[in-house]
Amino acid sequence: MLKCEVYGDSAVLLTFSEGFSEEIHTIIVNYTRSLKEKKIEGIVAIIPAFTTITISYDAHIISFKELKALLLHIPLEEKKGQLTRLIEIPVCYDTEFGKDFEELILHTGLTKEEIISLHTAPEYLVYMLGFTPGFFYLGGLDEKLFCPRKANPRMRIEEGAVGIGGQQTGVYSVASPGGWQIIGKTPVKIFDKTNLETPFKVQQGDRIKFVEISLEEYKNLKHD
Amino acid sequence: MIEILKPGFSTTIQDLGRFGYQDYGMPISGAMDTDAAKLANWLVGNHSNEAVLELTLIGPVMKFHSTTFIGITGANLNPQINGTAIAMYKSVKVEKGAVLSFGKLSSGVRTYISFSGGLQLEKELGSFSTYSYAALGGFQGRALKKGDRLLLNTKNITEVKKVPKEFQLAYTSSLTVRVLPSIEFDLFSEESQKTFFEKEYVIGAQSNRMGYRLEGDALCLKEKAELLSSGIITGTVQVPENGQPIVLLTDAQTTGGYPRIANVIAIDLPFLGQQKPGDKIRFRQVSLEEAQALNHNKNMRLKKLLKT
Repeated sequence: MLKCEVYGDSAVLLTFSEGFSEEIHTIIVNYTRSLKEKKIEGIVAIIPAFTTITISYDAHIISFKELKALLLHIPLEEKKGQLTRLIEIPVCYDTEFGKDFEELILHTGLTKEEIISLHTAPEYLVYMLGFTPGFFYLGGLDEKLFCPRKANPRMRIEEGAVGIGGQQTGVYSVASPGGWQIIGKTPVKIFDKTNLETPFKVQQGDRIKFVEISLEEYKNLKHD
Repeated sequence: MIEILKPGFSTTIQDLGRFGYQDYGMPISGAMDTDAAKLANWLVGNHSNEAVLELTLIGPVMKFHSTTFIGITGANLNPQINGTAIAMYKSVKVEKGAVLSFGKLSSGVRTYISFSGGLQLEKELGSFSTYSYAALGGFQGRALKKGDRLLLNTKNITEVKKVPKEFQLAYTSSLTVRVLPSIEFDLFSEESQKTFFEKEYVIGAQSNRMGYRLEGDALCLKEKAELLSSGIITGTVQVPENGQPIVLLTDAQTTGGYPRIANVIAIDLPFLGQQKPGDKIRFRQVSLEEAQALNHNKNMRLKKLLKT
């Protein structure tokens, strides 16, 4: 059942379950939406994650007790929302970008074509955002593609790089150090500060599909 | 206009933070010592959230190409105009052509400079704060460099203000910060729980606006735990596998997966923001009620001053 704990003197942590599942994820997405719609005065930040939501608040405006009572009152809804978006992200898997294909081929025993086909097959679920602005944690990677992170993380991975690390796959939203095996690159901006309406391409609860594009298509899209 | 002749160690533009995008993985950023930033703005008649310069460890040298009023608060970097010492915590008129420079650091580590009317900049995602990892906010999303020119808004002030003594915080290189036990506190061994409150930790060299890496007795869990990533807040003390705590600060990632042993309380965050590598920290436990009452009283006093 929903647990509401003191998390420092300016935040609470809501825990929805010990373990993590797609059902819990749906409840958290629905809860976050209801919470935002309520516009509770005094809430400063909301960070939904795999099994928790962190909520920071201004204790001058709302007390811990008042906030807790309001939070525990919001119903938990298991029904999937109608508004789930499917977002296609074009990825160029050319070896110009996919620097770690060799390592991945050695580890998985698959061909490059098989890896691309397994990577582009699922509709991945965006469980949460974090790490860097706009970065999304995806569920649904085919276990045949599970691969350990690089023994020596790179000091800099470019924005848009697509990789696999452990049981996860995703896109680097800004240039940063990182240890994932890089297999491609998207020309699409995941975080775009110049896009004032929607600076972030993806939100929690979205579904993602990677679509293979050629190097030529990559270059054309990049210039648009 | 001001021209940066020397950038200092790390001089960035900050306000009180970038709120509303934490669910998209955007850190809050903003001044490490928000009290000092508010006081600096008050000195020159600005509202609290106006853009200020945050200086770190070594101050910049800057030339003023127009006359303005400034306010300097926070760490004492011994500010000078044309080589003559000037007062901190007081509004100061700077004439066109004057050069502002800084001397040796004598307390704290972060100094704030406000300009009457503020700087001519565009907010990005609702804030002036520089978050350099995403090249966001401030001046071109980065720390200032030699040759940068910042345009000033012009606003004359009629009253020279001085921050009352009781608001001028004394910074120490040996700080006790007050904390509440955090979400995973009970997962730590009883010995580590004791160690955390009894032993002294030193702020490591690899410390910055994202977090302070502490060095001292290692802290360990009762048994190994695999945690799922969860949202974190400024002041969270997390402990990675090597047992050395990290205090997460204003540029920290919004989520983390290490066990959280404690949270620094709000009233002590500005003091923490004035600590530097080599400084010593101890942790003391307080209750939620005490923490919130302390913060409430401080903010009420500060608000009263800022209204004047």
